[in-house]
Amino acid sequence: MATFEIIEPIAGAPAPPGPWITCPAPPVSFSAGAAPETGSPVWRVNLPSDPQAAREALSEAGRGLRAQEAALDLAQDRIRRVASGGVSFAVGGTPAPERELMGLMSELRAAESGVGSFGMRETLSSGWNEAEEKFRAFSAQVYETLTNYAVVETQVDLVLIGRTSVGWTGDVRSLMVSDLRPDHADLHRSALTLALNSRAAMLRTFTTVLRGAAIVATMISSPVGAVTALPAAWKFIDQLLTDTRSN
Amino acid sequence: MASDQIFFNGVNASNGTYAHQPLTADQLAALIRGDDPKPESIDPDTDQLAALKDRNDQVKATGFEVKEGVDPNDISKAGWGVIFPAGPQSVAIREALGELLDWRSRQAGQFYREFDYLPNESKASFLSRQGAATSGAADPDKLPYYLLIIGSPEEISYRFQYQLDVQYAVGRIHFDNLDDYARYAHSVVSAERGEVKLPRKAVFFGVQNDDDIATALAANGLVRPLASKIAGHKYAADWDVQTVIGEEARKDRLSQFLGGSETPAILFTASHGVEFDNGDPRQIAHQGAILCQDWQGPRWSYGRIPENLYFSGDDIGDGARLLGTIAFCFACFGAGTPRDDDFPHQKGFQAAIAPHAFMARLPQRLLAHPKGGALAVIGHVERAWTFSFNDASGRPQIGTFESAMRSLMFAGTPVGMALEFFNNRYAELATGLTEDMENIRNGTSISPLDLSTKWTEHNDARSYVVIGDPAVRLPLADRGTALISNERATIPTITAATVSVRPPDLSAKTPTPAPPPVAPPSVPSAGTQGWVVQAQVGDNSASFGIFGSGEKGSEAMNKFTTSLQEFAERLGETLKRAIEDASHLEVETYVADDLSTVNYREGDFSGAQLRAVTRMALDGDTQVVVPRRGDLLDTELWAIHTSMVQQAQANRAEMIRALAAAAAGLFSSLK
Repeated sequence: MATFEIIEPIAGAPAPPGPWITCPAPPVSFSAGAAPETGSPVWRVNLPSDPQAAREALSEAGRGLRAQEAALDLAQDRIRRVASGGVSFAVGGTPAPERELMGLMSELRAAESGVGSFGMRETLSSGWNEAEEKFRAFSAQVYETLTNYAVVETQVDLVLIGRTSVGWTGDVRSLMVSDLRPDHADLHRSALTLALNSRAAMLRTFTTVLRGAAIVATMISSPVGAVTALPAAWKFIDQLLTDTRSN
Repeated sequence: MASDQIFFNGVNASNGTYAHQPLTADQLAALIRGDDPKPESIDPDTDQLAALKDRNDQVKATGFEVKEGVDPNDISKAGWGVIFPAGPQSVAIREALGELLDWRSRQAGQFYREFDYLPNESKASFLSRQGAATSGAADPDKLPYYLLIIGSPEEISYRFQYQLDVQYAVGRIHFDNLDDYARYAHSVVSAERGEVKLPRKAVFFGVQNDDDIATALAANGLVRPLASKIAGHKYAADWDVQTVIGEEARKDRLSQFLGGSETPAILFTASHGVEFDNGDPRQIAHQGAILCQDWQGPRWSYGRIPENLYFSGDDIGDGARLLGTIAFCFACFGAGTPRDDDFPHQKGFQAAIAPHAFMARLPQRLLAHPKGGALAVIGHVERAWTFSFNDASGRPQIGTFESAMRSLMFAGTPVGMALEFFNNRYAELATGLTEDMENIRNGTSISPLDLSTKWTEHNDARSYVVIGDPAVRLPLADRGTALISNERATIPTITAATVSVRPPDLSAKTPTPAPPPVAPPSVPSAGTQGWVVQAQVGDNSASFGIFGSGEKGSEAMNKFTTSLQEFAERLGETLKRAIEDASHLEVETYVADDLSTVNYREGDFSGAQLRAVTRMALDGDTQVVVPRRGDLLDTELWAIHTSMVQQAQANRAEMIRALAAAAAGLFSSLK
């Protein structure tokens, strides 16, 4: 069975778009064959030895990523609909991201109007703080992505066959096993493409959150504008990607 | 004389008669000219007329389909793009096509693009929106040369396809279900991965119905000479070229060539395509099907033509073996049907010939077959004409067909590029015809026969289209390689992945703001703005509650804003450095026998052997160290290395874009 892991040095960072599962970085070691230097996330793909199964796993992962990218494409429109009051409850219920966003905003309105009880405010506050903390971790992850190497490792049956480091300025260094089989080379190329596409999707997620926040800001007409709305927009996008991944 | 008349390759299967009676040249010329002849009768889009003229001039001057210096055979240089109809309906299709898109993305690298097509958009508008020139050679920096249109001709019209095809290599797919998209994607990728290798076999299948001049002309003026020229070509020595004409060209024989045991790498057919009355219950399923030798011709056939006389998509069984085949079907409506008659003048012809535009079902079935499909079908939209291969004197003029077939068979040319011979001819004829029409308007006398000939050829050349990915090629076995098995390869059972996102129905009319699920608001402010919460002006954070209330909330808010400001500044700095460092790009490929013995630190691989290096400077200077094995280039490692170079280029462009977008978005949020 294929596994897709990202060894993530940022504590609490969410899984990027794609099939990835976030794993905390182990203690740093520079011994032979060890994981790369501190600060760099490692995108590690372990594939089955059956070439067809390996290709299918990568294709499936690519499809999942594209579904999330497609969801991201629609995110702003969906936020805009919520902001304009255009979400319908009529057909099939309200999707979870819209529900989350509307819930946050209605809590905010209730809190703002003073009708909420003290306990309600506590609940509200913790929900928003959680979103803010997650967004903060996500921002750190984005910054780390933009300023560090991305290391992509491909394993077949847990044996490393290729490792590529991609610097933030674009330089690429690859290490391949001597006499790499063409099909294994193809697998590593595919794994690299998947990881880089996921990284690009993560950055797109960030800009989508920023743009979404500008729309959400119209719902609260805050003097601090979109900054105030960032956690809410983040929560919407995060829920959207989570739903897409789990479907 | 037969050649005094123009014949249409279409038989109306609703009533068994010719779909359109032959016309004399004078009759056709009068139709073309109408009462007020003008160039716009040829194509009312002035941008398109200019593009056709440009194309004609360009081909004469340079012969380039793409800008000079770009090899149109090489997808990594010429580019590949896909055009989806704008809207949520395309999300699931894109998903189903994922395997193909991923494959092409890797091949085309930085020249891979995806586009939305806006409803009723013209070619000029579309290209302008993409920042591409509306005429002239294709420039992959602006728009890829190979373009795959996704969707029905109602969503993206045939007209747009014809227009785009003048400058680019264009194909189209449209299926009724997502599984078919996924199957086609897998078939193409399988073929290009080398999982199917076809023997060099070509079949030329020509129907010659009794007492039927159109198919007699096609058999003798197109199929026989074309097959003869192909078979006699110097590169045809290792090809098995079969000709099946006349009595042999029956439906049961055709079934052997379309999925049966004799299925060739490339099949050329010439026949009538069956046509139906507008709205006939069989029209959508069977229009354009190949009318076989089993039809006894106009003298002996009466009334409705039964299904057993023609070959339609329904005749392709589930057990058919088609993977890798390319077919060229010369027949009326063989590729599809527009909703309206393509004649610019309506005298004697119905305006609407179908309830809606549609693609022919036979090529759809061929491409999406569950055992693995054909890679492409070249066919004709609307009526096909005999003048496309016979000149006014009845002499064959089959150079366009011959060139296209030779390119596909002997040069390994992608199908969209092979069809450029028809597009060049379309541009040439349209330009000449436009000039003739101008001359007529200015009082110059033009032979009606010449005029009708040119118009017919123009119409014919324009309406040849590729159904399928325009970048596919024949997946032929290597020369001299004995095939392990004559049995055609198949694909495993493929279904579209379940669409994991159900896109919102943006067209749904929900004008009334929906109530929130909890804590109904008491502040009367929603109004037309929806969920607007009125803020208290003054203290930036005191009233929102989102970071807690009172002092604590205010502090949290300030801290958060400050950290974001710092983040934005760091992003800006990073962007500046990224742009400064973009002056060069370095790609290195190392190898080691045991990767676990290699120290990895700071992006270097201590202990590994550096085998290939590429350093590229912004000014174009490139230094390359190539890997050698003995005295020869280590081609396998070099292939890996060059793919890494492509990845690096694409990735850097993406990173700088992302960085700029993130920095801009963050600064905007902090305003």
